[in-house]
Amino acid sequence: MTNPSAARLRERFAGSVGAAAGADGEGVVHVDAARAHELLAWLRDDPGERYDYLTDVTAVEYRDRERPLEVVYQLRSLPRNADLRVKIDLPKDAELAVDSVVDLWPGANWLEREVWDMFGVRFRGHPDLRRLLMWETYSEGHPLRKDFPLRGRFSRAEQVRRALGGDLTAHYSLEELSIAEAYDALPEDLRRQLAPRPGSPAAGAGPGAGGEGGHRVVELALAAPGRGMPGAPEAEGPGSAATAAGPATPAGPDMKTDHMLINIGPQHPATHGVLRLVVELDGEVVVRVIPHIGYLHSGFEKLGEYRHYNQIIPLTDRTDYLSAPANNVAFALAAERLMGIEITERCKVLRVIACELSRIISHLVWAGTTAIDIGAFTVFLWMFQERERAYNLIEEWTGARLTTSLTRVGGMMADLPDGWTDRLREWCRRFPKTLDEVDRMLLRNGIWLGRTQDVGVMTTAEAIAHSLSGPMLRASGVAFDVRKDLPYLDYDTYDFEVPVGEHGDVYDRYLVRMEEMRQSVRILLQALDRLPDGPLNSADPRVILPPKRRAMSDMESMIHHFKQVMEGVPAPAGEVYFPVENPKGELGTYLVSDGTAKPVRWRIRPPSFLNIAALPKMAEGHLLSDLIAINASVDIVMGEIDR
Amino acid sequence: MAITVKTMPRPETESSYVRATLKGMALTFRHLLAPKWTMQYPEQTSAPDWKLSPRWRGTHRMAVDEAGKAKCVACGLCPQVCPANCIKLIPGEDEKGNRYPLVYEIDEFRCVFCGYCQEVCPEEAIHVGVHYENAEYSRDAFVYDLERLMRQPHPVSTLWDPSDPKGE
Amino acid sequence: MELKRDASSPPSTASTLERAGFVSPNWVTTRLDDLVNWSRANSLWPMAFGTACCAIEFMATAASRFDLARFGMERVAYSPRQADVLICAGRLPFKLAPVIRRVWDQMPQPKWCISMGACASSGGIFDNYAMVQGIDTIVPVDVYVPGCPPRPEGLLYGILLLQKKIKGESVFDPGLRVEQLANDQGLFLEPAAVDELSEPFGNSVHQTRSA
Repeated sequence: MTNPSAARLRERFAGSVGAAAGADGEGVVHVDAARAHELLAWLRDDPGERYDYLTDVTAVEYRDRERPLEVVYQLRSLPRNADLRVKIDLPKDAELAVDSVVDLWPGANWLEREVWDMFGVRFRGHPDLRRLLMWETYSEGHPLRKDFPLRGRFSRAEQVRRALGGDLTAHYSLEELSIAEAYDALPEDLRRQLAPRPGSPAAGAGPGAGGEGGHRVVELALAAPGRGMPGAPEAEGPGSAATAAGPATPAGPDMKTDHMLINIGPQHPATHGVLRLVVELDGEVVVRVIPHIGYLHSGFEKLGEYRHYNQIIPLTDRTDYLSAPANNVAFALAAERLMGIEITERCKVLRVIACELSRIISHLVWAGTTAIDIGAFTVFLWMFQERERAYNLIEEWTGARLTTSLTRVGGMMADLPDGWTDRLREWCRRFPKTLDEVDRMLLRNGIWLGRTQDVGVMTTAEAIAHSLSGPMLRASGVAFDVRKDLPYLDYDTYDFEVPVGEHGDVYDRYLVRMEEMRQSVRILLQALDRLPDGPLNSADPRVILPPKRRAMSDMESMIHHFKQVMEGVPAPAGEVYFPVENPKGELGTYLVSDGTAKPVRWRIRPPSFLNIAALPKMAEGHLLSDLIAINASVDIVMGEIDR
Repeated sequence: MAITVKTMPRPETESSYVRATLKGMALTFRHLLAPKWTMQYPEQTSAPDWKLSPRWRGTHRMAVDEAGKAKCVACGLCPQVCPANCIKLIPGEDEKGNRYPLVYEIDEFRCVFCGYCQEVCPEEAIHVGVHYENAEYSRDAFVYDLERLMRQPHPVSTLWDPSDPKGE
Repeated sequence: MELKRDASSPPSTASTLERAGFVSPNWVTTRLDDLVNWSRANSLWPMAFGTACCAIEFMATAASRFDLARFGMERVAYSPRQADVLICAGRLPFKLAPVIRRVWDQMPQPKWCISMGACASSGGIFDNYAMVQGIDTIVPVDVYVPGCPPRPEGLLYGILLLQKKIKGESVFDPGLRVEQLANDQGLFLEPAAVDELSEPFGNSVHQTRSA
C-alpha cells in the first residue's frame, strides 16, 4: 500500500522524489536533498496535504558503510489524520548538510540540534545549531555514528578528567541573550568574567557548532571553579539555584534598567530533574528562558544498537521511569509490528491495564510535585499514598516497583497472580475518592487559580507548530489522542472520553490530567470486565521461549531455547514508526532493522523533550515564580528528554 | 462503545483564600483519624495491607542440589542474556565430563535485577531473591562469588517458576 | 577492586584512633565521641542529588509510607550548604560530573555520601560513552545501596548502616575530616584506579559487538 501523498509528490516534484517504500501501510518517500525544503513546505501548505504537525526529525546510519546516511522527517496531518515519512539520503563522502525546517515548524529546533549533536549533520539556516545533549566542548565526536565506539574514544580516566576539568559553567552563546550587544560596553571586570572564546569550539571531527558567520560564543564564567579547595571563593554555581554575576548594561548616570541572569539547576528541586534553566530577568519579569538539557544523557539509543530486542526492554524502563510499564508496551508493540507478530487477546487486555495503570501513577507524581511547586505539600503526600498502593499492585505482578520490564516481544513477562484483579478493582473503587479530595482542595481554591489561570498559555496554533503532544496539546484545544486517532491494542473498542481544554494554560493542564486519571480508571474497569482467559504469549516459536518444563526435558525445545537466547531474534529488514499515547504525550518508537537480531537504530520520539522545548515560548513575559509553575505543568521527566 | 471528546469546563465560582485554606485544613485534619499509614521499618517489614511480593526481584541466590553442590551447569546463557553484563562465568569440566562453574560471580552492584538470568536458566540454578537489605560499606563487598550465592538464605522469586505456570 | 580508602573501609574506632596516634583513649574523649556521634547520626540532613529513577524512590522514602523523618532526616536540604549527607540518587553522566563535585565541595564538614542505586554506584546497565562508571571516581562514598532502583526499605537500611558507621567515628581522628584534593591530573583517584573501577565486569562476549 502506498501513500497517496507519495504519488502526488512525484507528480509535483518530478525527478526529486525517489522510491516510495510502503512498510506495513506506512508512507515513506525518499527525496532529493536540494529540493527537500521546498517539498516539505509544499507538504505543509498544500490544501490537499496539510501536514501541519512535525512528529519527529532524526537520522539513521546503517551498518553497511556504503549506504548513505538518512535524515528522516516524520510528518503528520492532524486534519486528515495521516502520517508520512520523508527521507533525505546523504552520501557519506559529501558534506552532511540539509536545509533546516525550523522556519516551517518551530518544533524542529531541538530535534535538529540533536541530530547535529548525535550524527554531525549540519542544518543550513538553523538559528542556533549547537550541541544539545553533549556539552559544547565535547571532543570525542558524534556518538550515534557507527564508527563511534560504544564506550567512547578515550579511556575512562581521560573521560573523567575532561569532564571534571571542563568549565562547570558550560557555555552560553551570548547571542542567545539580548544583552549580547551590550558586551562591548561592559566595564573591564565584567568583561573579564565574560571572557570571549575565539570562533567556535572544536567539537569532534566536524566543523564546530555555531561557528557560522562570525557567531561569537562567549563563555560566561559564573565563578572561579574552586575545585576541591575549601575556602576558595566560589559562588553557588550550577550546583544549586543561585544568582549569577549579573552581566548588565553599564550603569550610567542616566540609570538604565539592568537585566539579570539567573541560573536555575541542574540540581534544583523545582526543575523536576537535572534540567538547567538560564533565565534573563527584567526585574521579576522573565525576558527569556534558555533550557539546557543533556545532564542525564545516558546513551540509550546507542546502547540499544548493541542489544537484542528483548534485552532492550529493561532499557525502556529507564527512559520514562515514571511510567515504565507503558514504555515496555510501546517498545514491544513496535518490535512486534516490525517482526509481524500477532499477540493474543489476553495479552492485549493486560497491556491496556499496564498502560492505564502507568498513566495514573505518572500523573500522580505530576500532581504531587506540581502542587509542591505551587505551595501545597499535602497533595504530594496523598498522591504518594495512592502511588504506594498502585506500586503494591505492580510489585505483586512484576516483582519490581518502578523498573518493571513487564513485556517481552510477543507476550508478557508474567501473568497476573491469583486474586490480583479483585485487588485492582478494589483500588479502582477507592482511588477516585482521593482525586475528589484533591479537587476539593484545589479546583476552586483562589490561590491555586491565581497561580495557574492564564499562566503559560499556548494557543492551538502554537501548540501544533511546536509539536506538543499529550495533555499539553489537548489542554490547548487539540483533540488529538493516539488512542483515539491511531488506535492500538483495540483501544477503539473501549468507552472513554478524551478531555480537552479551552485556554491552554496551566490550569487547563491540571484539569485535563485529573480527568485523564478518572478516564483511565474507567478503562481499567472495562479491561477487567473483558479480561479473557486463554494463552498469554503469542504462539510464534520465533520469539517466545518454550515453557521451562519442556526446555528442561525435551531436547528439541532445549536447542531452540539456547539458540534463541544466544543469537536473539532476528527481525526482517525494514523499519517501523509506532506511536503510542504515553502519560507525557506521544511516545514514538522508530525501529530500523537490517535483518539481524539487533536494531540498526532505536529511536525514541520523546514527548516531554518536545514539550519542554516550548518552555521559552510559554514563559516569556511571566513572573519568575510563574516560570516554576509553567515548568511543572509540562510534566517533564529528564530520563526521557535526555535519553 | 466510543471514544468521545470532552471539553473541560472551568468552575464558575472561586473561593476566597481564607475559605480555601480553612477547607483544606478541615480536610487535612480529617486524615488524622484515618488508620496509620506509616510503616515502622526496620521494626516492621510489612504493613496491614501489604507484604513483600513473593515475586520480588532482589539479591541473587544460587540453588543447591541434594549433594550440596550448585545446580549450575555453566551453560553460559545468563552471562549472555544479562543486559547489564554483570555475570562472570568460567566453565570447567570434571572427570566425568560434567560441566560446572569454575568461577561464577555476580556484581550485585551493576545488576539491575531484571531477572533475565533466572528466566533463561535451564537448570533453575540462578534465582533472583525476595531480599533487599544488601547495602555495603565498600565496593568489593558486592561481588558475590559462588559460595556466597549458595549461602543466601532468603526465598527466591516465584517468577518463571515452572510449577506455577502463571509466573512464566 | 583493591582500593583502600578511608571512606570505603568499614568503621573501626580502634584503627582510626591508632592511626591518629592515640594510645589509650580516656573516658572523657569516649563519652564526648558518643555524644557527638549520637547527635550527628540522628540529625543527618540529606542533600538529595536526585537525577533519575532512584530520585522517585527517594521521594517515596520521604513520603508518608516510609517517612524519612523518623531517622532525623526531616529536613531534606536542597542547598549543599546546609546538608550533611549527599545522597546521589540516579545516573551520573559525565556532563553532570562537575556538578556533583561542586555540590560535594560546597558541603561543610562533617559530611558523608550515600550512593543510591546501581547507576550511581557503578554505571549499572549504562556501560557506554555517556556515563560515569561509579560516583566513587569523583566523590568518596561511605555507603553503597545496590538495586535498580533500591526499595525505600533498602535505602533506609543503607541509612542505618551509615548511622552505625558514624557512631564508630572519633572526633579526635585527624584523618577523618580532611577534604579530598584533586591530584595534578585534575582527578581524585589515580587514572589507573579510575580505569580499573570502570572496567566491565561480566564476560558476555557479544554485547559490545554491533552485528
